[in-house]
Amino acid sequence: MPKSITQDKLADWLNRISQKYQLWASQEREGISLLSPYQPEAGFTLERIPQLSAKGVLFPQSECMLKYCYKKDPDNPEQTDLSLEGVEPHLKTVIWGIPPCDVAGINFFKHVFTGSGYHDPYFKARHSECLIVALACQQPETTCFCTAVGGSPVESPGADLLLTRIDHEYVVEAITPKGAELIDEDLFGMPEEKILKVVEQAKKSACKSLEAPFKLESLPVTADKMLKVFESPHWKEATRACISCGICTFICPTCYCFNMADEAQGMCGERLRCWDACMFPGYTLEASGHNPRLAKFQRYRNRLSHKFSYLITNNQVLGCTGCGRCIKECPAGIDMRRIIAHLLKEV
Amino acid sequence: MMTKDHKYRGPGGNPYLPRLATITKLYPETPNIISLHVALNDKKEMAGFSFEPGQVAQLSLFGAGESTFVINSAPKQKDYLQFSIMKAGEVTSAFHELSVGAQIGLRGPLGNCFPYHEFGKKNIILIAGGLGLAPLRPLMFHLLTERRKYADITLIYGARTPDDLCYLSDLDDWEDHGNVKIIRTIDREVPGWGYKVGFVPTIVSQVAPAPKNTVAVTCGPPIMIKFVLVELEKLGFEPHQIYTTLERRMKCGLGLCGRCNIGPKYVCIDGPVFSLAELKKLPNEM
Repeated sequence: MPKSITQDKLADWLNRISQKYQLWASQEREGISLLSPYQPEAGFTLERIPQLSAKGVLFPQSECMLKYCYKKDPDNPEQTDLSLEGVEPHLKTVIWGIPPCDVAGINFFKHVFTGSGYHDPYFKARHSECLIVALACQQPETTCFCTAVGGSPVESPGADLLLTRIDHEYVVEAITPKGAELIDEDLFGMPEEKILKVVEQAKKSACKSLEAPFKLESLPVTADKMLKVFESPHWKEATRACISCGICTFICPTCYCFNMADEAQGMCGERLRCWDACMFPGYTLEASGHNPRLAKFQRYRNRLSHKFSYLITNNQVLGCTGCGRCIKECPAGIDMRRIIAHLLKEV
Repeated sequence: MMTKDHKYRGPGGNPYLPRLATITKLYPETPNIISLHVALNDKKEMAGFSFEPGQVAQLSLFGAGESTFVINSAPKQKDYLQFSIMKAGEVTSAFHELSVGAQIGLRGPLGNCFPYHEFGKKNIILIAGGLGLAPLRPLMFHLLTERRKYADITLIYGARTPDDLCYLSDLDDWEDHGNVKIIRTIDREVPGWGYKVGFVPTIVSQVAPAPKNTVAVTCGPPIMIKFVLVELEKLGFEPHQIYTTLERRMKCGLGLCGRCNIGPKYVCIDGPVFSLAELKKLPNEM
């Protein structure tokens, strides 16, 4: 049975969670909503979709993969020994109040980083100790299109709890037993029957408010079609304004390309994993000077083809959650919805 | 062919973690290429290390970084792994500063290999340019361990100048003792050069190997590969008779970091070896 909590008790709930877990919640900063480590004095907001996706909690922008140390042998200065230490994150985390499109992003990471190929031990360790509290999205923005890519603004598979706001009350549905443990508290009550009906109606109308900018067929058909338009001149036309800034990859809940680089301090140091972006020309630049994706249209084509074709072929999953951030933030006004819709009409 | 089940597990099951290794020998191959012998520090792991011709490894020089190199020693060589490194970027330049005894990291073997088990009873023509001979070297060693299984073996090998030819003593050895026909070429005439002169693709068309019952394997700079493939097809080779091994900028080597893809295939896990038939199915993004 769902439970409910009134708005004035949310802060108490968050404070309690933050005593047991590292808690991430959205904070309002200079008009922007940012997912941040929770600090009671900074408060929280549930008003807007956070500007950055939640991926950074489980796949940090920069993280240590290993530590190394070279040591000279004092008896034989010619000899240098090397020691290596792997780093595995262990941290119980709760990500609180994120929209279903960001939960879909985390589900996506799970497919790619712990699927049929090599597993990523850093993501896996973080994900296995993470609880997710989703917030149903009742007023999707004009850039939102989650229903067109198999998502829902108001349901959130992969989350542990789902909150739905009705006036000053939040109805809380436990999706997993782990999620239920988070609400076994005196702060929660039982929602009235009529509130549950209102929740159902609110969810229906949220779904209805979303328009589909394109219609995808089955995933394999989509993958095939996107491969067929690889040579389309539209890629070049549509990306003329792109300035290769990479913001679309930065704010995207599914973009996961990364770089590995060593940072030395004297004889010791760390190997870091940092977010990278396939939109940067240096991303594929080889030491010989050869670059297989030198032109920006080639890089953009790779990005969208990866999301709408290659990932389906390799991981049976679509690489887009319909959050619309790339449309909202693109300084050149590139709208991937229009590009996908245009390309799908070519085949 | 290696399957994806042959995964590099890494210390503690972390495939990003290298095993520690020592450079046991280091010598210049050409003016800008060195060859290294590398032995894993754990003797048991070294003895148990097995790889197939064409597979690669990631070498780490901590503080400088990690790069991908093909293992070019003989697969049956159990004392060390050989790599050849051309001075090109930051990591490769740092490797050129090392000396014997240096401690490095090694992740591997990674990637697929040449499908030599499909080459039985066939003529084999290997075509290489410069350091492109490195991936073909372990293949040649392997073929020569079971020489009788194969028909004619020919190597067309070119470089810019005589100084840029790698593995010179191997070439003589294969020619003298391996029943291998070797055709050497350089780009421009040099006094005292007693072999062919001309770009590798041109020499391929001159030598004109017959496609019947033959497989061709080529590796070299991208521009050489491109024109060798054209010449081979002109000679009547079918795409499934031609193999090449590709280079791409790589980081993780595990199919996760994203950069080495050609369409849905990752050079690091689905390659580096591809038949031309496989490449033709992929988007043209070489």
